[in-house]
Amino acid sequence: MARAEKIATSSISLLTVGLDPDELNSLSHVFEYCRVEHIDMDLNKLASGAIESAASGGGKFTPDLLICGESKTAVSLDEIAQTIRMTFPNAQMFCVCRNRRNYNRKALVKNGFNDAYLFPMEAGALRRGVFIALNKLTNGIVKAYRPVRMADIRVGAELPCKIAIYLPVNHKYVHFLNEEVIFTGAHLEKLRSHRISSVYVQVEDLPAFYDYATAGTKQVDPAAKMSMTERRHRLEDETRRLLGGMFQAGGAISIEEGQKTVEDLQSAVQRYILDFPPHELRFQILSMMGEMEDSYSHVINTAIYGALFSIALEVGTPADIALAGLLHDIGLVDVPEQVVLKPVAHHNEEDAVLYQKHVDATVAVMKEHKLTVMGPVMKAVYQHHEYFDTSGYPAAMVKAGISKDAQIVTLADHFDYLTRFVQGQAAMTPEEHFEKFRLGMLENGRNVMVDPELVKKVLGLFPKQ
Amino acid sequence: MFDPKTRVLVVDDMTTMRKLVMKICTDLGLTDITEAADGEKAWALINTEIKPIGLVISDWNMPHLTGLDLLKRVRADARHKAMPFLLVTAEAEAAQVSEAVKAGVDNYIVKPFNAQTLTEKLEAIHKKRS
Repeated sequence: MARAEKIATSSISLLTVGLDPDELNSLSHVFEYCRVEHIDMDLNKLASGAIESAASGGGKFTPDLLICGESKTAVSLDEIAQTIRMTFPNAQMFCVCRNRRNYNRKALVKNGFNDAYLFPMEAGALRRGVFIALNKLTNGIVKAYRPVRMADIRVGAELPCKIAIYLPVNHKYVHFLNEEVIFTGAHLEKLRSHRISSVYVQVEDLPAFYDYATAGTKQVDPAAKMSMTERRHRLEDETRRLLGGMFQAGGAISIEEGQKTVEDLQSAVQRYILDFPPHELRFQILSMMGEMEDSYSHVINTAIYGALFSIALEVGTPADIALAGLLHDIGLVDVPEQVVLKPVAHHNEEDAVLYQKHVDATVAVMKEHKLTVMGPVMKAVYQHHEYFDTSGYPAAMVKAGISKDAQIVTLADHFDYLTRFVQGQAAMTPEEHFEKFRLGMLENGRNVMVDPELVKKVLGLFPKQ
Repeated sequence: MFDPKTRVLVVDDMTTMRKLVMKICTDLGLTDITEAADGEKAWALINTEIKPIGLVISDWNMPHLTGLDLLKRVRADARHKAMPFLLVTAEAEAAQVSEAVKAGVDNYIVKPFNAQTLTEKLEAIHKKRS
């Protein structure tokens, strides 16, 4: 850690309250930036403000930053929010909620939290939110980053801001280039030679990057409205707002509320997935491969890949496929998290049974939240694990009954699974990603998940050099 | 400022919030404080207490009977209509405040608040009343 960072962060006090080991583990990179105290959930203790610092021999500990889990008693998160906000009025406060029946983001923010996150679905968003808080508390010394699309960085153009790269081995961001430097072919080659597919920009520099990237996009297509990076970021923010925000702690949802959520999702699909310059189709696919999984990244990638495959292959309805992509895994909120957090390839028989319930759970969650969608969309959601060789679930359908939209969602779902970054494995080139996809879909020795001709057509979009 | 012996009724469905507000009142020198967990229980106390309630500090959002509806009952009853009443709210939406003023609230306070803010609000009520 840089010296300035160390000095700035040594004065930041972080209190975690009632967090489980998984939650603490997901925040471990945050802890090295702060003086940290962990306490169990004790509302009376919190109300008294009498938190002692074990590190400084029992002196009073007043948190700048507070991350709070749920109570194991009947005390509501709303009461926890109000109590902590009254006791620590100046702290940045975040809530981590595992049970969607206790989760209502809007209400929790109204009652005092700066933001609230559903865990583990929104673990990445939680880390980002905490880093943004640290960035503000340290006046910018601790950096908060967001990934940007390599395709938006133009060779020969002056950079609008600093860019950094991320080292997954030690979870660190490393400065790469300064602002106002001309980005050259040599820089691009250096990134490619190290198989770096994403670069990062500090959050306060994003408006300048969006302007720069949009200007570049308009050079190729004057009708373009925004850059690939900005579309992706807006889609991520909107997906979290809509999918995470629809949970109302088990409260009744009205038909109008459900309708509004669907309309807003359709609007996000139109603005941020379907409305792109035609020349960007292949670039989008290439730019998404090899990325780390993050909150909602899988459903977003499935939606985008699905729409792009549909357009390129002229199969299915892109808008329906994209909407189905965003919704297809919402039922995972009701699957035990130890199953969700384990890679599918490591599932035992019991895990597999529980995991497979997510399809019916998705339909149930959609029904509960009055997310009424058109028949083809619901079909694609329900059939996204129905496979060409009848080995799928939940209904083991024959291929004739599986809709084209569903097959594209299945294709996109597995494309993301097979081409994403895997922690602990070396980064791959695009060619290696496509080969892994080809092997996984055509030569896995087990399932034929989709029509092999569709797989070959997707591979045909990127002929081998 | 209110006489320290004024009987204060703190109403909130959240136990720790009630305790927090009661503690702030104690810190301000008020010595006779009672509590209720919702509007209906508060109304029962107002009608049965031997020593009259001299000040109500009530949360807005509560089950069974909201703070606003408790205020309306108090103002509609000739025995209690002059009772000083402070509403506590999580947000100061203009429409909400206007509704409370129409119902006859003396003042409102937005959570989170500290002892100083509560003092200012109570002093304002006391000054208006005297």
